[in-house]
Amino acid sequence: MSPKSFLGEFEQMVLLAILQQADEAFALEVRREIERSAERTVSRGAFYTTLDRLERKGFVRWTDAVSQDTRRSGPLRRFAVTRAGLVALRESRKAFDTLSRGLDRLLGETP
Amino acid sequence: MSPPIGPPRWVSSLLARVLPSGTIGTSVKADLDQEFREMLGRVTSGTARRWYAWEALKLAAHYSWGGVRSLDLPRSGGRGMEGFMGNVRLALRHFRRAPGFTFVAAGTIALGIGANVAIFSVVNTVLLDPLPYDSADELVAIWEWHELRDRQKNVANPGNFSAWRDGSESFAQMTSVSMAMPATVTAAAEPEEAMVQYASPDFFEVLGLEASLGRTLASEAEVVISDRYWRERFAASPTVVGQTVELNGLSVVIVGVLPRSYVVFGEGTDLWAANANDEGDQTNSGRWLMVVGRLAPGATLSVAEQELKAIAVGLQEAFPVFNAGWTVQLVPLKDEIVGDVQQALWILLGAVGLLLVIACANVANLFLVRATDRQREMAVRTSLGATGGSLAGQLLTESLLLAGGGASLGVAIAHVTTRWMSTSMPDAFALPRVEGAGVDPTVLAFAVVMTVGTALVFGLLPAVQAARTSPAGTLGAEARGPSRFTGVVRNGLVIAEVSVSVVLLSGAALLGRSFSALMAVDHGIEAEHVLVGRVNLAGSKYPTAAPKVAFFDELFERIAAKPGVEAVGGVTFLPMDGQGAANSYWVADRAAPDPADRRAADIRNVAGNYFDAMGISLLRGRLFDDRDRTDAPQTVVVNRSLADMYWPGETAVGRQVVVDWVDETPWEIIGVVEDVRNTGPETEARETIYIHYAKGTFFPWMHVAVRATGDPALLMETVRLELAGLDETLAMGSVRVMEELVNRAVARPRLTSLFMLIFAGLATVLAAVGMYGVLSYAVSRRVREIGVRIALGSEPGRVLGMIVAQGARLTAVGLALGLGAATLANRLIAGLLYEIAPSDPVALFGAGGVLAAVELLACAIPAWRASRVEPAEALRAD
Repeated sequence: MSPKSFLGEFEQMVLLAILQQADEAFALEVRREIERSAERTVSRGAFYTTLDRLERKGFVRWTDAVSQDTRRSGPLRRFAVTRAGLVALRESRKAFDTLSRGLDRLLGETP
Repeated sequence: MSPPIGPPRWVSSLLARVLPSGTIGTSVKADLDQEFREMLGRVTSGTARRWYAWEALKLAAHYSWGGVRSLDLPRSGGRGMEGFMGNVRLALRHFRRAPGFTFVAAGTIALGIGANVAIFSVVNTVLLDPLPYDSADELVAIWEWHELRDRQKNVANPGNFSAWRDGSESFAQMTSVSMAMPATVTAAAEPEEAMVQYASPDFFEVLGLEASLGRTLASEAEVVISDRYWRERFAASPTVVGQTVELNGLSVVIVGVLPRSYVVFGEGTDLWAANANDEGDQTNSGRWLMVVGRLAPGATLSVAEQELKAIAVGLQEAFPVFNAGWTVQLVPLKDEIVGDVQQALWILLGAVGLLLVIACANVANLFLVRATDRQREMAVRTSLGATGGSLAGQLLTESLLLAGGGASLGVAIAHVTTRWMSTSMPDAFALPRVEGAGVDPTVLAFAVVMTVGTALVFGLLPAVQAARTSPAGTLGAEARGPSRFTGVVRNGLVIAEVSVSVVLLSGAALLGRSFSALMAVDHGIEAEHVLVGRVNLAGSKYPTAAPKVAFFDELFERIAAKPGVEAVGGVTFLPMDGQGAANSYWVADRAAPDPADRRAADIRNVAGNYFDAMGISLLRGRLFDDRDRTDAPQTVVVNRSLADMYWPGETAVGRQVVVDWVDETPWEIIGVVEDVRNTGPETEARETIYIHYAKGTFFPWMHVAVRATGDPALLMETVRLELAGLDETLAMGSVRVMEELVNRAVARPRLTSLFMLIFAGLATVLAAVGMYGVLSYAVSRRVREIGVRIALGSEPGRVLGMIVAQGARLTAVGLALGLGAATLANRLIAGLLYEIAPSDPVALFGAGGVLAAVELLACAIPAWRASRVEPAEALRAD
């Protein structure tokens, strides 16, 4: 695993949330998805800079979309996880699983 | 239809400016706008707008400084409280990284502010606080005044006092209190000596003074006691009110305790007894009252003075002998109490103000050095988007924190020391009202103003410099060192420090020389080895002169017989003890002068071997002996001033003087003794006439003076026992060694010159540190250049000379400016000087010389270091 593909926890959450939202992965919805599932407040600043960073790393890309809301003042970005992004997510998950092996009792609550 | 509610425009446009350009930025903002619109449906528009402003600001902050944070530079700048707290965190971090700098800078500030707060707390308590009486500014002290004899602020005659009180309309009330007199007080078993003043029953009422316990005087046979006497004699018992005590054999009731702050004419007084001071017509019978009047509504001091002067003219005509030449003098009560110390205190406050200026210059210099060293940091932060303003804000925050920290320390030290000094050793201060000195809200407000002012003074220059930082310029210039502007400013600061130090040092030198001149004064007595104590025979047991004389004869004989005693005698008023009797006199073989032209002499009754005991030398003739007893012809001893005034070059022995004392029978002069400075060391001796106690006195007491062969304090118990053996109902009061009185007389000039010396010393050290700092820094910046010079063959001596010359130039300019300023400033302290002119060249050039030497020493260390630079190392150095 190259250092470049290493993902931070928050980056993983952003990528997963984009995947969850599929065609509706607009920034606002992605952020709300993270807040809902992780049950924590997400700072707008941190969220947008993470998106931009993931884009620079080639893990996400975005396209212009047309908003349903006619009053919207600016462009709407729809995000999608790239192939590289998927690879990086898989690598991270694999490393996570390997490291967690045999620790179920200690970490508790396995589904 | 009303227009749709939008987000606050200012924050919206701010956000737009901060966000990245293009789709990314506009889409981020559009997201936030959309959330705002969704929120409008759920909450009030005000809440939504506040929410938007807050979120937008956070987002803007993130985009502005997020990058800086990721480089691990602490966040600073910003707006409002958050920005300020960021600045504070950053400043604290810097202080932790530079403990030496922080310690020196905060310590310097603590010193400057601490000294200012300490002196100001004294000034505030003594001079600025109003007297603790009702409408205290209406109160006026009224004295008699004999212009010709220069008897200013003389105590008043009771008859004259009644005439003023009854005849004036400018005063709503007028009252009086007598001079303090010794009295014997018997509370339980042991009799005690105490000082009593006889006050008109309305005295405290006119002042508007409330007793702190019980009440003040209302009628005769009542007394009130001082707070000190209450604590020392009655162990602060609340049951003291209502207690009956004997005062000179008469029963009186204690009706109250006066507050601790009471100061009017009562220094050292233990009891105040009610007494109508104006009974009958007492004109022609001496002066012993201190008078206080309360101005009537609308009356002014000058109108009141004119009115009383007119009354005094009438009194001169009514009693041409007694009142000839006497008029009145009015002094606002507050000036009366603190007038003497006003000048010294303001001057000391000025001196510490100058000390603070030097401290500020020093800290500003430190900041400038540090700012130069931090140019790279500033440049990096500028290139990351920090504005000049935010950098300046950061540096000002550092100044404020440093000043605040130093000031807190200074205030704490000032509080502890002033409290300690004013409560444990008020005698050292020798100041009225000083007991209350300490840090109170006024002093604290003063400290805060001083601190903020200080921080601005020393923080502004570096801040201005930082605000002018441009990243490209600075990153390029950094290698070259400080800017030309900074160098000029730093040299200017050193020059200022040197010149202000010279002003302080020369002031201290003047006061020090004046004080040593004062100490060198021949008082006319030999105070070492002398024990003094007061014995009072007032009361019914010794009703006339004869038993009093017999008693003292016996006492002196008994004490003289004890081992370790060289001579014993007595006098009615001790030298340097603050009061005494004076009467008019004239020379018998010349025409009696008109009453208005008669001179006055100090009159002292003496007994035993007083002159030997006090060490007053006999110049001509003889001293009193058994030939001068009650039934012998009238004889006096006079001092040299009197003899020289009338019989210069001739002998005064055998001549006669008439003294307005008992009657007008001439007295024959049998001896001439050396002058004694009765009032204090700084006042020339006045004409003095010594009359034997047996020849009649108005005073029932004597101060016993015992000359010991060794330590006089060891004789205290012996003397007490002898007194008790002779009459167990008597106690000795105010037992002290005579040196204590002499020291007390010079306590104030000693304190002023000591404080001034301390402040000047601190100023000199600070100025030297400032010089050292500037030169060390210059050397460290020029290591490479110096290395090249040495490599090219320059002698280390020349390098040393080059650096010293740089310091010497600064010192010379500072000295020239400082000496010029000192000649002006020293005129302000002329009033405090004794026999030294404010332009005294020894003090001026001495101060200049000392400072020059210290400054050159401060140059020597960096210069020596420069001369030791190894060329190879210097060239390798970065």
